[in-house]
Amino acid sequence: MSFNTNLFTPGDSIAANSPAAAARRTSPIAAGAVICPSCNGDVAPVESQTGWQTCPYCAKRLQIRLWGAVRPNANAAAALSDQATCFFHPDKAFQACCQRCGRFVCALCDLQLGAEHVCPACFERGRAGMGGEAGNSEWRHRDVLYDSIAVTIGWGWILFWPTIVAAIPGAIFLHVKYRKAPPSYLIPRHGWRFWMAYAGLAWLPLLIGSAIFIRWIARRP
Amino acid sequence: MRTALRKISRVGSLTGGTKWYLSEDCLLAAKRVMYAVEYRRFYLRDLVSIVVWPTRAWLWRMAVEVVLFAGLGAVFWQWDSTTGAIFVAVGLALAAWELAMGPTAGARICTTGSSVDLPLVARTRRARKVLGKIDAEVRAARGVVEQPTAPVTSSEPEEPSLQTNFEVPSGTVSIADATQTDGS
Repeated sequence: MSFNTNLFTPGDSIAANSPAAAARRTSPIAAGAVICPSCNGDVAPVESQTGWQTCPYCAKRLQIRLWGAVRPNANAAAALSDQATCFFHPDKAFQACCQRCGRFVCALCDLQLGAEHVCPACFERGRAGMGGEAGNSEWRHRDVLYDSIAVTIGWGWILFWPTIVAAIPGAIFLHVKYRKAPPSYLIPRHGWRFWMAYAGLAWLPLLIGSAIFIRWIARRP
Repeated sequence: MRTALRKISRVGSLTGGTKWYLSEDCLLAAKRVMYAVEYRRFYLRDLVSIVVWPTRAWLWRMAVEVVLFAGLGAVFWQWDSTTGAIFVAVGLALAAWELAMGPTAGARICTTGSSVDLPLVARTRRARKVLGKIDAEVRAARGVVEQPTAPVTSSEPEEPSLQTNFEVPSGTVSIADATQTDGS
């Protein structure tokens, strides 16, 4: 089961053809300033007691943190005749060895993920494979919350009781197949939701059974 | 080995919400919609700026709550004044809660390659605290020694004071400059 939806929709990002982007193209941002989200004017951060400041153009209240852009030194050196070269750029000098496939990479291709150096190909392969390995938290970009699905199935039948026929095997299937998923999520979760699903399936039969049992006990001489 | 993530913020929505985590090298947004969670990383060395501003969502929310519960209270008042009073009281309590919590917030996170509007904090009153945590982690990630703060009023650019192997392109402020702006 997978959801092929991009939750970070293009609406989250400022589109290239948006008015904000157009404004940026026509007036380059000043150094040490940020763009006002309301009027697209350049706002220089100032210090204040509360941390808040107002945009000089639209008087919008803003709280700004500015760190400035830095970029790694990726000036890949040209390889000498007796020097090892990059797998992807034969004219560039060897910088590091991919710790996944062993390819030599230059400064341009060297991707550092924590303490690990990988090449772009391994990085893409890792992302395409969903980064399912628990250790590859850097590559992981999506999780499906099977335990929450089980809870919904386990309790959702109350809205339309005949669906309990499908809910019981559904909850069991999810628990058996994905019981190890919650702890391996990028943000680990506990597996108690699977048991909550069983509780949702079992509470009505237990209630009815208890009532019958109590009634039977009460009728005994 | 898994990098330690600590939660710094949570912004709820009807279908899920966004949780924010901070690690030693990145700011992670975990956006949940129903049963799917997608992660977006903002590496601290790529962060350029974060801007938080107040939005009017809280006013709309408060108006809807007051109108809804006042209407229900008026309807129920005709049959039973106690039930009607309870609905009105609930509406007023929700309005008081919204007033106490303060304005909702929007946020824009700019990195060297992108600019994304995502809810970083639910309310503006939390913005300073959350931004302070991110600011401290950014400075730690970039290996900059804390410097005394001062307002950015000078038009003369200062020399970059980075102690890492990163290059600061001309036309951008250094972290030392940025620390002068945060008021912390």
